[in-house]
Amino acid sequence: MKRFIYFLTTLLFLFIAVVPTLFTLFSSVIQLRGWGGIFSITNLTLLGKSIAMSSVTAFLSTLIGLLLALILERTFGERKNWIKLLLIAPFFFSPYILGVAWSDFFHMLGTGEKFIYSPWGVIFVWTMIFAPLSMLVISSQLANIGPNMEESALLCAPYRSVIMKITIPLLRPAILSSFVLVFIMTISEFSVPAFLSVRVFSTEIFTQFSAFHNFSEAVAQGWIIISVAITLLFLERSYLTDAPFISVKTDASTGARPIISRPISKIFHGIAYGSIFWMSAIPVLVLVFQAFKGGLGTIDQAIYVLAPTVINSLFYAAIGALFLVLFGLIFAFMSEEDHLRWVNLVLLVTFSIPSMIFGMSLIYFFNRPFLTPIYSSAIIIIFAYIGRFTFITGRLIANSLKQLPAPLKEAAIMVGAPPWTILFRIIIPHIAPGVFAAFLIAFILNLGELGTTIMVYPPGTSLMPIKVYTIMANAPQSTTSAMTLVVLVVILSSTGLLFLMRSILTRYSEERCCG
Amino acid sequence: MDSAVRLDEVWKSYGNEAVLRGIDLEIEYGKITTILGTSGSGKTTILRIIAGLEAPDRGSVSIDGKLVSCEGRILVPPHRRSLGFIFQDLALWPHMTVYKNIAFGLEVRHEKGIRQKVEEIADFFGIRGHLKKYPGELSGGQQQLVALARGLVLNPRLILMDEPLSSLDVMKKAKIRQVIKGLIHKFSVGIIYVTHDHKEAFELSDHIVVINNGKIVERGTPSQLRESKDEFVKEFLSLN
Repeated sequence: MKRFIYFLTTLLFLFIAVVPTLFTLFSSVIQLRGWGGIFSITNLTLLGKSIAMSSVTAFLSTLIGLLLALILERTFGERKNWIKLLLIAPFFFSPYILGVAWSDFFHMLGTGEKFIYSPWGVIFVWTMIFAPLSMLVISSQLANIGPNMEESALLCAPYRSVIMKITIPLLRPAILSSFVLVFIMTISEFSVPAFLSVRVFSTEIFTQFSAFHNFSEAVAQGWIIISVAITLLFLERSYLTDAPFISVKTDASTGARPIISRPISKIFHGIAYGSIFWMSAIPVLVLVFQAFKGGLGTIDQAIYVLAPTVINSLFYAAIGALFLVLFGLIFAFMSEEDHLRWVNLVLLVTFSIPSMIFGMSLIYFFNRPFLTPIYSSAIIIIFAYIGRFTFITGRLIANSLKQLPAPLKEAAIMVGAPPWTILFRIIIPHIAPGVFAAFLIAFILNLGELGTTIMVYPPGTSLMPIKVYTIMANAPQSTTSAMTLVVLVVILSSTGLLFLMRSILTRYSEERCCG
Repeated sequence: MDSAVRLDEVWKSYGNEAVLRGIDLEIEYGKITTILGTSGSGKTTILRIIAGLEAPDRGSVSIDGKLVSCEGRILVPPHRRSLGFIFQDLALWPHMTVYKNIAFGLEVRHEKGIRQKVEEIADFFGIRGHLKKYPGELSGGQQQLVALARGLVLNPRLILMDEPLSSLDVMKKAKIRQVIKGLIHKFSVGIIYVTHDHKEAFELSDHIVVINNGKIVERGTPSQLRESKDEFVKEFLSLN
């Protein structure tokens, strides 16, 4: 039975995510279509520009992420989880939301508009989006470094030497992974450069596809980005395939607390609070200010335009998250319980496929008469979500599984519990926080997904991000801000609702269990 | 004998739970003093407070007559206390070779003749042949010797050991115990040894302090402890 479930899940995932991409990419090579001008000066210049911009962003994000992770893990006590939650908020706002917010910010300042509409502006916005991800990657690794590692060094060296010679070298895998992840995610990100009118390789692919309908050249260009991403990925595969960066810990380890004076500690805390204000609060405040500047009429208009898309978006995001959790759960079992290591590698490679290339692949593969029921319905949107984010849910649940002490399961085996009982009575209850986190993160990512869904959404199936993105090019600034604010409110309130439901369910099950 | 470390009325809590309740303790150089107690009795916390890795909530700690911690404040940071610390899990740095692990403290202090000092101490512990290896390539006993070498290379006057033998088998434990006993004469150090194993404590120690529930319930030489009238001590030492 277990093998059948594994086989069916793998087959489905291959059909949804892997086969369409491989089919599209290799068709492009075999037919040699679109490859004529692929190595033109223009393309190579754009590619060089994209690589440079992504490298600078990855460097800055990792640097900021490292600093914040050190401050969080080594100077904050129990409050650190709240601070972390507030700091990672920008990563869950879609990139285009932050693109709008930061351009509004520089408009409001009345200066720096030239900066924000330049490659440096894009780098700035990307850094604000991806520094929280870097912090998450590095702080997870930092929390896993036993406190004794640093404390034993503290007995013979001051804290700054311990940080430089013990802590940072031990963090090297996480630092490299942060760099690679941010690089891969930014080199295929197109909504921010497109909104800020900066031409890069990803916008070029999007333009070739959507404006010139030059599908072949877009795919050929996609090959180049994928090659760059996969090369980097393979250099870091040993860490990334087991990445603990998205884990829900039940017992966070506490590293060494620095022996620093209170004033210096206050400076570090000030940096953390300042970062929350700068990275998370300013974009929201700016959107609120800009949206209300146009009067309540602008907000009304934004709600009127987006209303038909809200239910659609929430519904598909929830259904997509359910499937993502299901796929993630089964793949997590395959990799952690049955040690099928190739699973992680396959998920990682699919995660590295740029969103618009994946969108084009879905179109190319499913746009055939006998697959019309999939292509012309909302199923294609769910497929888009599954292809994009199974890696995330898979890793989250796998990391929860890793934390399950083996004796818990073995004790159940010893008393003769059958496998399904062990699964539902022992394993699932223990990994429930990880499964919930996987659902929540998948739900939020689905709600903001733009790169793939903008290519595949069937007529009549309008989604929030697509609506905002298609309108914002020709809408007044205040309307764009108002729409973006509405999207943000929908994301935050639905997330809050999910948390509320979870706490009610937890309380109910505790009452039922313990009287 | 000099009084090396002195704890006066030391209290420490984690959250609402008091771990140490008014500990008064004097420890001398040139002796092995063992802090003996059950799990959770507060013995590791005493070591961490002496090392300066934690501050006492109340009370004070002095080393060589100098106040180093008091009332929630660390006045002298750990690296200025001239102490060595052997952790229960040894805490060898996995990204450094054995040589680098031992040399680390000397390097950050910019000392001269680092290679010679490392090789001398490696010779003493019989690990010279492993200097280029990483900790993961060594057996448990060899890792133990590296941890001891790392703790002693800076010539501390006092070395703190937190159940360092707990992960070793009986044969290796006996061997390392002999090494630890020999350190007193070779390096002229004092040792504060934490354990829950009373047999180990009796075999190693010049002086034993029994701690229960954050309080010292008995102290004395091993022979004095055998004569203890305290009910907890009698039960703990299985002398009933």
